[in-house]
Amino acid sequence: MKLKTIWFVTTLLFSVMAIGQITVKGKVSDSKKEPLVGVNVILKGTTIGSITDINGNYSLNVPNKQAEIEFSYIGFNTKLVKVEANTIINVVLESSDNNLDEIVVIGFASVKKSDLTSSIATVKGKELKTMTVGNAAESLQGKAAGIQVVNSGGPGSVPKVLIRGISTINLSTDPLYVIDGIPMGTNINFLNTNEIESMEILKDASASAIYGSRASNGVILITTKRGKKGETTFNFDTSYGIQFMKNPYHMADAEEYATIFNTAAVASGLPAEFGDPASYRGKSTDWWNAGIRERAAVRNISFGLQGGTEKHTFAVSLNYYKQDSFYEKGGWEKFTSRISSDYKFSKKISAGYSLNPRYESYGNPGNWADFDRIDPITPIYKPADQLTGDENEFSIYARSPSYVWNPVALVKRFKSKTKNYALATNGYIQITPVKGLIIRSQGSFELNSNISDNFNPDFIIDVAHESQLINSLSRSTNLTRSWSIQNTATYMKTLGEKHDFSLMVGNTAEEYNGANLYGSIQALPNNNDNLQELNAGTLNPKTYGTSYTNSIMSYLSRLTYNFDSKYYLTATYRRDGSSKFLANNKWASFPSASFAWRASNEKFMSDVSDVLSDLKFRVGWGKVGNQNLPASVYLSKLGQNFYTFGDQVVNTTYPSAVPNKDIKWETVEDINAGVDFGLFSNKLSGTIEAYRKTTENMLFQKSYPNYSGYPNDARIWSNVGSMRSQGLEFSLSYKNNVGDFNYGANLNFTNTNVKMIKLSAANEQLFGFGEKTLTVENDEPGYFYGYKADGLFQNQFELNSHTNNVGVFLQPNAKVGDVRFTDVNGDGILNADDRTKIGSPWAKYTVGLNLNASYKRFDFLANIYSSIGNDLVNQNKNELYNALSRNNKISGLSDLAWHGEGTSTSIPRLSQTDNNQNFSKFSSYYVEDGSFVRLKNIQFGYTINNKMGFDKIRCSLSGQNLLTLTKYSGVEPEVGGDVLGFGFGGWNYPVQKTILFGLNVTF
Amino acid sequence: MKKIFLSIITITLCIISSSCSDDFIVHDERGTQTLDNYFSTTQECQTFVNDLYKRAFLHYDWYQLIPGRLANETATDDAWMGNTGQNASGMIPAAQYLMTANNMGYLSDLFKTRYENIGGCNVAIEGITKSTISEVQKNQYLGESLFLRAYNYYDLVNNFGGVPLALSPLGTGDLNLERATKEEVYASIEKDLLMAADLLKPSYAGSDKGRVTKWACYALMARVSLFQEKWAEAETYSSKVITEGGFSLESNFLSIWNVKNHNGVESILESQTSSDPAQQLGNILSTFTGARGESKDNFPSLSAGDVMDGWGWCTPTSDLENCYLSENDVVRRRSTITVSGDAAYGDETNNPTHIWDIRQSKSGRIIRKFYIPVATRRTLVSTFGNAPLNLPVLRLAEMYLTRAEANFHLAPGKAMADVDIIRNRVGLSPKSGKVSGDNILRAIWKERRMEFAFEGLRLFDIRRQIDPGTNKPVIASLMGPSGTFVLYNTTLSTDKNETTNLKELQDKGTNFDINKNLLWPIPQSEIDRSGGMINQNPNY
Repeated sequence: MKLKTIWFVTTLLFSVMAIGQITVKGKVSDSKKEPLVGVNVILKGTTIGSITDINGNYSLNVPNKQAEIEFSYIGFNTKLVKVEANTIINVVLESSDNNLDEIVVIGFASVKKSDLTSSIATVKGKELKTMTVGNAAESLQGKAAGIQVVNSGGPGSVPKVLIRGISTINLSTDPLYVIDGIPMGTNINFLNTNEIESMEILKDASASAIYGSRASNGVILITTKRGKKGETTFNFDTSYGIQFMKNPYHMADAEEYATIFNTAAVASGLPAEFGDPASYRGKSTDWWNAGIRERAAVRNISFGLQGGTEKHTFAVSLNYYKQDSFYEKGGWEKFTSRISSDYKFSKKISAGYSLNPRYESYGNPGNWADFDRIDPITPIYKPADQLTGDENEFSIYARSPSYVWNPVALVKRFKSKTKNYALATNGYIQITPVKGLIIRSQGSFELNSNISDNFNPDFIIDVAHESQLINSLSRSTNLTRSWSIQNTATYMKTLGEKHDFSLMVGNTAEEYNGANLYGSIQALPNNNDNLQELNAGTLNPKTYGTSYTNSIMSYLSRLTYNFDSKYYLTATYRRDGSSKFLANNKWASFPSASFAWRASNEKFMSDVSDVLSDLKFRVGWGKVGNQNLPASVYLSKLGQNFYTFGDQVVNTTYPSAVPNKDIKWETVEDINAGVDFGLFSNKLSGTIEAYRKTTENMLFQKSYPNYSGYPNDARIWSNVGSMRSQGLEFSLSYKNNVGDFNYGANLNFTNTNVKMIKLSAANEQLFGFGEKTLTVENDEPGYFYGYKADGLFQNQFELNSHTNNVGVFLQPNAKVGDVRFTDVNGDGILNADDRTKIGSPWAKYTVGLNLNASYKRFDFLANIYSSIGNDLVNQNKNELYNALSRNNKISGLSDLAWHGEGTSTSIPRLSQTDNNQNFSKFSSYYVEDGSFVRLKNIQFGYTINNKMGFDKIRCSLSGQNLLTLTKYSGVEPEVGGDVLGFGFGGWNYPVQKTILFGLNVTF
Repeated sequence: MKKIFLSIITITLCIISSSCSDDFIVHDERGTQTLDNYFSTTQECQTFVNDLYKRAFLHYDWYQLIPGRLANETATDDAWMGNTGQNASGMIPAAQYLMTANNMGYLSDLFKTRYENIGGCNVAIEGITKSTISEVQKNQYLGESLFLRAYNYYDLVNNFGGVPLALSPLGTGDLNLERATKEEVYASIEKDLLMAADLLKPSYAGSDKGRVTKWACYALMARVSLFQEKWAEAETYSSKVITEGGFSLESNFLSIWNVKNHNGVESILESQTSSDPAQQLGNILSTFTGARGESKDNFPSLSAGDVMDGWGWCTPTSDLENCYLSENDVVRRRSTITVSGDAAYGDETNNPTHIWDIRQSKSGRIIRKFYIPVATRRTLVSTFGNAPLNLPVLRLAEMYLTRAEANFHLAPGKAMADVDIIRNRVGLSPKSGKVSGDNILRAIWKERRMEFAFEGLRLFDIRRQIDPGTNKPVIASLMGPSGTFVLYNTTLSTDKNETTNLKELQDKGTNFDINKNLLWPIPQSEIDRSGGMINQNPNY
C-alpha cells in the first residue's frame, strides 16, 4: 500500500510540473544508424527521464531551453546535448568497447571496469558470435591477450584453453568455467555461443583467488543473456556452413607404393616384393574418396526473445547446432535452451532463476587417418573368387597386409552413439535489508545423464587378424548430480564522499555425485537393428558400475576500498577443503591482494587529459590451488581379475594403485603488474602487463623405476616441485571513423617463459611421453629430449669418417643414406648419454589481431592468430617415410628419400629394416618449427533496417581457417597434449576450412 | 513473502553450517577393495595369490611376456620370425641382434611386467606373514608367493643379468637400488625356492590343481643350479624330483600338448588355461604361432568352423628339423613341427593335409606343440583367446636331462642313462656307450634342444652352455658372421621354403656380438627413471 501511495504522489507531481514545458523528441542510433533500444534519456541533474523504444525513439519534457539532456547506454559513450531551440534532437552514440563504466563480472560481484585492480579480460558475446563453432571457447582464440586456444578438431572435441601458459605438468590445464556464478567444470560444449552475454577471463591470481582451489589454470566467467525491461524483442539467428575436409597428404598410388617397397626391399637385401610396379598402374584403391566426404554441413539456428517490466524480466533462447560427419556415419548434434527470469519483488528483495535443459548426441568413427595409412594395392572388397557366399555384409571387405584395418569396413560396422541429457538449474535470492547491505544466496543443481551405446557386429575379414567372431553390445550410463550453494553478504559504505568500502563474506559448498552402470553382452542372434539391446544377447553378460562423490567447501571474503576513484585496494581470502586429500592436507588457504592507482583522475593529470584520457597502474598478488587430480589417490587400491585352477575359473585381486598418503594441494602464487591506458578519448587504448606465476608442490603422475613393482608403469600422483611461468602481454585497440567509415583494430601479444625452478630431489630428471621429453631444474618443462640428427651420410667417405678417435664406427649399422647422429658428449660411443635437448614445445609469442570496419550498411571483420617460436614433433615422419611399416607412404617418396649423393639431406634412404634406427631413435630429425599464422575468421556483413516489417536483417558471409602459413610439414600445427607430451603432432584432426552464410533477424 | 525468503535463507545457512564438519569433504573411492586391512581372511590371501600366478605367466596376453618369449626363440637356431607378410619390427631387434636399449621390440615390456609381478609377490609375502589365518594356509600362500617371486627373478636374470633385488614392498623413498650381481640374484632365488619347498604341499587335488608344489620348487632349484654350474645341487634336486615327486613321463610325447590332458602325469607346473568364453584365459601362443592363411577348403569338413587362423610368427627352422632327422626322431619332430601340407600330427582325420599360405611363411613350418586340434576348435565359442592348452612351465623330462648334464660333470658314466630314458619314450634307441668324452655333453644338449624346443629354454641354454671345444658359449659358434647356423642358411641350406621365401633375411644371427649379446639391454626407460643408479649392460 505504501508503495502505491508513493507512486501516485510522484506521478501527480510530474504531471503538474509538465505544464508549460517543452517536449523534445528524437531518435537515438549508433554509428551504423541502427536504432538503440532502451537508451536512458535523462534531464541532467534530475531524475526525470525516459528510455528509447524499439525504434530508438524517445520523447521527454524539459523545463526550458537551457536544459541539458544526457543520453547514456551501456557500451556507449554518454552524450550531453543542450536543448536550445530544437524540439527534435537525433543523437548518434559512439560505441565504446573500452567504456570504463562498463560492468565487469569478477566473481561473487561485479565492478566498473575502471575500478578493476586485477587482470581481467572481457570478450563480449557479440564478438564470439562471429564464428560458428561447436564450443564457444574455440572462438576465444586471438580475442584477448594471454589466452591460447588449441583446437583439437573433430566433432564434439573440446579445445584446449591455456591462460597465460601452463602452471602444471600433468594435470588438466583447462581453466574453470563459471557460468552465471556456478562452477561448471572444464568443458562448455553444452553452451551455445548465442546464449553468451560476455566472457570474463580472470588471468591473475588476485582476480581468481576467490575461486581458490580450482583456479590455478585461470577462471573464465560466463554471463548468459538475461532479460531487459522494455518491449519484448525477438531475435532469430541462423547460419549454414560447409566444412571442407581436405586430405592433408597426397599419398602414393599403387604403382608408386610398389616402387617404393621394391626399392626398400632390395636396399635391405630382400627380394623385390612386387612384380613390375607398372602393372599396378590404374589399379589403385582411392581410399580417401571411398570413405571421406569432401564437404560436411554445419548448421546453427537460434531463436531468442527477451523483455520484461520493471518488476519482471525474462529471456528465453532456443538453439540447435548440427555438424555433419565426414564419414557415412556419425555427426554431432545439440539442442540447448535457456530460460531465465528475474523478479524484483520490492526494493529490498529480488530473485531469479534459470533453467537450462539440453540434449547432445555424438558418435563418429574417428578413423579418418586410416584412409591415408592403408596401402593402395588392397582393394576395398575381397575379389569375387575369395567370397564363398556365406559371408555377412561386414565380411566382404579385403584385408590389407599393413596392420591397418579396412577403414571402409570399419565405418560400415560403426555403430556407437553417446547421448547426453541434462538439466541445469540455478536460482538466487537477493535481499537488501538496509542500505548498502546485500545478502545473496545462490544455489544450483545439475542433472546429467549420459548414455553410450556401442554395437559390434560379427564379421570375418581375416579370422585371426581382422574379425569379431561373436557380435557384442554394450551400454553404459552415467548419471551425475551436482549441486552447489553459495551464500554471500556484501556491505558497501561510502565515508565522507571519498572513501568507498565494501566487504563481502560468504561460504560455498559443492558436491559432485555420479553413478555409472555398464553392461555388455555377446552373441546376439543376428545383427538386426531391433535386436540391439542387452536383452537379446545370449553369452557372457557383464555388468560393472560404481558411484562416486567429490566435494569442496569454502569460506571466502573480499574487502575493497577506493579513495576518490584514485586509489583502489582489493583483498580476498578463501579457505578451501577438498575430499581429494587426506585429513592433514584437506584444507588450504588462498589469499590475494591487489592495488590500483588511477593516475588519470589525479588533478595534476588534468592538463594532459585531452591526450591521456585514462591511465591506471595495477599490482596484484595471490595464491590459488589445484586439486584437479583423480579421487582417492591416497588409497592402495585392488583390482579384480580371473585365473584358472583345476579347470575352474577363480577370482584374483592385484594391487592396481599404489597410494600417496602425503598428497596435497598444488598451489600457484602469482604476481601481476599492469598499466591500463587510453589516449585521445580512448580512441587508442591498451594494457601492458607483466606476470609471474610460481607453481609449488606441483601434482604430477611421476614415473618411478619399474623395479619398484608399482602398477600402471610405476606412475604415481606425487607433488614434485616448482615451476615458474612469467611473461609480458599487451593489448592495444584503436578505433576511429572517417565519415561513415568506421574502423578499428585490436592487437594482442603474449610472451611466456616457462621454467622448472625446483624438483623434489637434487639433479632429478622427470621423463615424459615415453622418455621423449625431459624436465629438469632451470629449464623448460617437457622439452624434447633425444639424439641430434646431423643430416645424412652422403657418401662412403662421410660414413667412414664417422668414427671415434680410435677408428671405431660410431654407427656400425649405418649405410650411405642413413641418418648421422652426433656423439654429443664426445666420449667416442653413440649411446643414450648422447641424448640432449632438441627442441621446445612452448611458444615464445602468441599474437592475435582483430580488424573491423564498416561503411554504411556494410561491415567487415577479420581475426588472425599466430603462435611463434615453438617446435613440434612430426611423428608422422616415421609412418610416411619409413618403409619398415607397410602402411602407405607419401607420394613422391622415391624422389624425396635419399637415393644417391646429394639427392636428399633430410629424408633417409628407403629401407625395410631401419638397422641404423633412423626412425626408431627419437632425434631432432622429427623436430620442426611449429610456428604458424592462421586467418581464423573473415566476415562480410550487410544490414537492412526496418524493412519488410523487421527491425533489422543482417546477412553475413564468413570464412573460417581459410589460410594457414606454417613451415610444419605435419597435418596440423595446432597441437595439444598434456604438458609432458605437449607438441607431439601426428594424425591430429585437421582444423577445417569452413564457409558460412549467416542470417540474423530482429523483430 | 519476506518471511518465506528469510526462512529459506536461514534454512540454507543451517544446511551449510551443519555440514561444516569435515565429514562433508570425506569421500573415499567406492567399489574397490584396498590393501589396508587386507590379508585378514583365507579367501583374501588366496585371491591375491591367484593373481600372482596369472601375472607370472600371462599366457593369454599377446604383448607383455609371450611375445618376448617368442622373440627369444627367434634369437636362436630354432626359429625364424616367420611371418613374411607383415611388419616384423617387434621381432627384429632380438631375431637379428639389432637390439638397443631404446628399441627392444617385443622384449620391451618384459622387465616391467616381471617387476610388477615381483611387487605383488612382495606385498603378498609381507601381508600373509602378518596375517592371522591358519598356519597351514599361511604356509601354502607364502610358499606360492616365494616360488613365483623366484620364478620372475629367474627370467630376469637370464634375460638381463644382475638386476635390482627388491624383496619387500618398496616405498617411494626406497627407490635407490642399484643392480645386484647375477650371483646375488641367484642366491635370492635359491633362498626363496628352498623356503617355499619347506612350506608347500607335495600335491593338490581337484580345484587346487595347478598350484605350486614343493616339487616345482625343487625342479626350478635344479634348473637354476644347472644354469649356475652347481652340478652337485643340480643332481640332488633333479634326483629328488625324479625319485620322490611321484611324476612319470607321458608315454606319448604328444600328450604333454593335449588340450584334454591338463596337469598330466609329467607336469610339475603348468600355466592354467580355460576355454570359458567369459574370460580370455586361453593360450595365446596357439594364435600367435598358429598357421597363417588357413582356408576351410583345405579341411575335409570344408567348414569355416575348422579354421583357426594364426598370426604365423616364430616358425621352426629347417635347422631344427634337421636335428630331429639326424636322430630319426619322428615323434618329437612331428610333435614339434608341422610342415605345410603334412597331416597335423595326432589330428590326421580332421586335418590330413595341414595347408596354409606358405607365401607368408618363411619356413613353411609351424610349431605343432601349440596347435589346437580341429575337434577342439569346433567346441570353442571363439578360437581367439580361448584355446584351452595349458602351457608347461616345468616338466619331469627336464629333470632327467638336468641330472644327465650334472652327472656328466660329476659321474660321466651315469649321464647317458637319463638321456636314454627320454629317448626311449619317443622310441629312439639308447645312446649309452655310443658316445664318449665331451660328446656326451653335446648329446645331452642335443637332446635338450629336441625335447624342449619352443618351451623357452633354448636361448638361455645356448647362452650358458660352454662348448668344451672352444671354451665359449654355444651361441657364439652358432651365431655371428661365421656361426654355423648363419653359414648353414646362407651357404648350405637347400630347404625349399627357406631358400625361396627370402622376405626374411637369410643371414639371421650374423649381427650377434659375443661382447654384448649374451644379455639383453636394460630398458633405457628404467635407467632414465633410476636417475642413472642402474647401469647398462656392457657395450649397449
